[in-house]
Amino acid sequence: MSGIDGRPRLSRRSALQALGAAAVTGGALRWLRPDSAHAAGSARRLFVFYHPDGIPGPSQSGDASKWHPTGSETNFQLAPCTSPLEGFKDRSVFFRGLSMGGTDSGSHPGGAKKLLTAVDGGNGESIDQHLARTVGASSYWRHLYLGAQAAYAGASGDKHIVYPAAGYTIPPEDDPRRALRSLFGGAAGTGGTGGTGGSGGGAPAVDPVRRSVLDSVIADLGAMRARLGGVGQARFDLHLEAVRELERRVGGGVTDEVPGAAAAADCANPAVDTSSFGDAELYDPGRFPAILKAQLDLAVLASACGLTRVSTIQASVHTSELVMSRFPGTPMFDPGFDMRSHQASHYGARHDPFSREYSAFVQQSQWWTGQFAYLLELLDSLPDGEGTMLDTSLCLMVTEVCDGNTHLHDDMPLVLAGGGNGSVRTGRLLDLGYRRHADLWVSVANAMGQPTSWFGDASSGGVPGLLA
Amino acid sequence: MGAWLLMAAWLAGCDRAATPAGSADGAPVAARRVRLLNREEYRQTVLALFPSLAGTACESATDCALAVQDCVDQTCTPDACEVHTFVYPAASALGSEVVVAGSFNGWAGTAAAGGLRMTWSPETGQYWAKTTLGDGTWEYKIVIDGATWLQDTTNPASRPDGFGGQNSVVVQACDGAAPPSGAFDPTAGFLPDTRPEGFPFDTHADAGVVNAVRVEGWLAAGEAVADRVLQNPGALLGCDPNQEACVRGWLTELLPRAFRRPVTTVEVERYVVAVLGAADRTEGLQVAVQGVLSSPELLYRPEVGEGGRLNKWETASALSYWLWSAPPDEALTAAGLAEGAARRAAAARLLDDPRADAFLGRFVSQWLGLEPVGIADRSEALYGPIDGALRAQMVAETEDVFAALVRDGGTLRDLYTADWTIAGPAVRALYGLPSGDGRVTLPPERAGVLSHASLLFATSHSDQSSPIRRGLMVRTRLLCETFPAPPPTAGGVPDVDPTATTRERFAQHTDNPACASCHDYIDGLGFGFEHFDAVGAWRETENGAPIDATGLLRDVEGRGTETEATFESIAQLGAALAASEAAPRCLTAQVVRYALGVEVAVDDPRLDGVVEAFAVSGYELRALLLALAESDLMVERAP
Repeated sequence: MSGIDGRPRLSRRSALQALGAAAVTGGALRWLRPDSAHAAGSARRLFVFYHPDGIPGPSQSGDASKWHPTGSETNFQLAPCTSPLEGFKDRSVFFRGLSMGGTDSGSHPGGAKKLLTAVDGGNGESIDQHLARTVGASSYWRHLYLGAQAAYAGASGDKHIVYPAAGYTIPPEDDPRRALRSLFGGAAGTGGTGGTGGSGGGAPAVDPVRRSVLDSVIADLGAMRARLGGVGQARFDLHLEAVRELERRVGGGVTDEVPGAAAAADCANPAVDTSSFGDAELYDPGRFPAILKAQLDLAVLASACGLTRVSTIQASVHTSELVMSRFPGTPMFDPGFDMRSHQASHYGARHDPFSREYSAFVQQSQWWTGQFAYLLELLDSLPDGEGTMLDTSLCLMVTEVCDGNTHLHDDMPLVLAGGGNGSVRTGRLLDLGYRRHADLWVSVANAMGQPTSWFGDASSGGVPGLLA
Repeated sequence: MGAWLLMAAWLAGCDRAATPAGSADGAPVAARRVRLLNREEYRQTVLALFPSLAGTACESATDCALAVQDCVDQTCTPDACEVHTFVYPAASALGSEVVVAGSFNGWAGTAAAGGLRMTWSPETGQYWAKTTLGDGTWEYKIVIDGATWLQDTTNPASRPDGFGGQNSVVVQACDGAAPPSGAFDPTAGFLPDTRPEGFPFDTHADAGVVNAVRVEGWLAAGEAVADRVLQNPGALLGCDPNQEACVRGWLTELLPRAFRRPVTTVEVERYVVAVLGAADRTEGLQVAVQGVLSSPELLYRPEVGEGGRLNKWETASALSYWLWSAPPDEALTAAGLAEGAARRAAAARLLDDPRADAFLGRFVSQWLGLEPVGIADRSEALYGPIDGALRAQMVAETEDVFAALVRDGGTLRDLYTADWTIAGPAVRALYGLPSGDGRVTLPPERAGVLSHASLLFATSHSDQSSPIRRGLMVRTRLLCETFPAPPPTAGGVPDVDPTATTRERFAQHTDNPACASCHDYIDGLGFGFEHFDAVGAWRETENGAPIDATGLLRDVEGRGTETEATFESIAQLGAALAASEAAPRCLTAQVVRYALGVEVAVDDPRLDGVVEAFAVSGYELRALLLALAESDLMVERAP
């Protein structure tokens, strides 16, 4: 089996068989994991944070961006909408000149399809899924995909940014309570992993029935594949991969937890505050900030406890109807006037400080950056080795267009933060002139320890000078 | 420069006629494939396999635990905490009308005045009524024929009524109470189904991609089902589960129903071995039940067939998952379905069965885009609270009307112009109709599905109606037209302006030639809905200015056909659509998309046969469905 760069990669099946065998003998397995997983100089985990509808970039009439930093590579100033990252300036990288190129199907949907796939129409695997399948292949959760008001009934696939297969998305888990149960089981859990596994933190307990059920499913998958003679093969492949992932969880094997962080996060008693919303409030815009915070907390907790290395958190969806003027305790709050995300993003041809849309859009953009800053703070509060989880992780802030009003996909407002375990040279503003954003995904894969020279349909070997 | 190129391409977008359909060389519309059960199909499949999960059947609430349950969809269902049940025993009927009058309804002593009418149940010897009460202390009396006021002798709590008697007292405290657990739903924790952009239905054959979250969902469903059905293994198996022959017999019967095809002895034995090989019999049966419910043989519906046509088992599933969202029953798998006439007869039977409600409701709500009505936000400052009951009743209205039309010989014209509806109390209040339930004549300003609150709500924003969304809804969902995405710098929704009507605010689209190319087709049409606000209520004025709801339906038969119809009411718009050739052809395409789970162009000539049969019937909705069942489209699959 070869990876996208033609180099051989660890066969998932052999890794899993090895894991299964070792679980039986009770042996430790770290030596069987892909070297990249813990190689010095490779990022230990990736967080992708998505927000909708772009940012107040350069306007149609030529006003300067309110988001993009300005200055030289090492001496630069943040703009109003990136100012919440002031405290993380030296641990982030900002870009000028990263372009998605044209998109096939319109500004927002086309951008959302191309964002993580770097292929028009989402006709390829997304970078998070690719890394989940490769460097995350032996994790309990290869990929954690959490949403905040992103997977409502009737949402079409283009609203979601994660592509396990060319052309097709999966929806995120929008309910932090359900995600918590699924990840950690526990008293509140139904089904799920069957308990917290005591001091092993998130390490699931062995469940003989579930193990036999998965054997049965695998047998039926094989029989069905043989019987249908080629029809549905690609789908059965994905199905088998997913079943193997579940098999790993019931195996009672090792955990990848971050020792210092796991102690601080208390994996045996995982806690995420979900008290302010119930079933009826999951899509209430007034509860959106609390829901998003719970999902960010949960993603960090799951990583600290060694359950996953790749997490994507999707806040709302493109062309968002999210009424951000209902967010309590924020400068946007205005119970008498509805300001929706997409509405605000079309603020007009110029940066008019007297325009309601424009001033709201600046506030919204700042707020999203603030949520990303919260993720960074959280990671920075948890020790990992010599430093913190922020030092060993990669965090991306992404959205599907640049300026929300012009809908262009040039000069994309993407931020890379975190030291990546020494793999990234942070504290810089990289002016790339014109470079396709696929190159950033190549660099991210490399930083995660996945050797590759191309990703998507327009990469040319990574972003120069980004990695250490 | 990039923007200019895009703009130029876009300007050409709506000024030319739609491109004709591509290949139609007689190849089947759908290819050989496997179709993953969607969430509803999986739920129905599990419940069909283990009928004991569905709960107690009932005809009336008195068949259930009346104090805490109601009879919903012929199943005893727990009441929400807020629902209070009044019961008053009597040896025989006490008069022509018995009501509950209390502090919650202004002490109305007759039903006409707003009293809560009680239902007489001679079988159980009691009057009963259910109503929703907010938190607090409520006093009441039972009133017979508006004259005799009685204390509720079944309720020990009472207070002096100030007239020398006693009022009965109810204390309600539901704040924070968990919602009722309801009927068992094995898919409660599932991710929602997804669908490709622009495809209205959750039945698309390629959309469901399996990941670990979905596998986890099926495993958890299997565990929850096993917990329930294995509480009494003997009852489930119908014999002694410790006997190997009993287990084998049970699996021999279960597996063909689960996999919807005959199974081989080898297949049965694999499951038998799994049961016998477990640590004990309980664990073995768990493995079997859970294994079946996570098996790809259950989860996927192969449409592979022989010689380019589905085999009889696949055909039975194609019909039943289309019209029931459920597996075929015995009669369907026993029937020969190779001939079109046989499929037609089978489809007629399926449609008459209550299980067809799943299709009728899901089809119409997904076709018209009503799913967001349940959660889409509305400004409380402008519209007051919009509660879950109103939202549910809005969608139910459209689903119920569509189901009634399909079952009772209704036509496309009825769908678009009917002067009646089927509505619950909250929707009736919104329409200004007297309270009640069931079928009712609409007020004169409403006609057909285009005037339903559900549709008007779904095509609005949180604080304003949207002529754009409404116009686009008609053009894309009812006429199956496609539109290019708006150009860069299109601009957004104009700000709410307290001095202008929505129509005035949107005039810029058509005043600006860059916008007019497409918006000429959209806005004039959408303006025709302007008498209805963002929650579907009627309005005569907006911000003090009279509403102008004159509408213009340009090129109803497709862009460039140069047809034009103005309309003054929704009924006129509905009539114009019903009289077109484009609307019935589009509905045909939508039904084919739902049933076959494939994108098919509206002008694809392979639809002609079904369209023709639909026309010959006078556009009877049922005839359209039967014509598709009969058509070769249903069973032919490209290699």
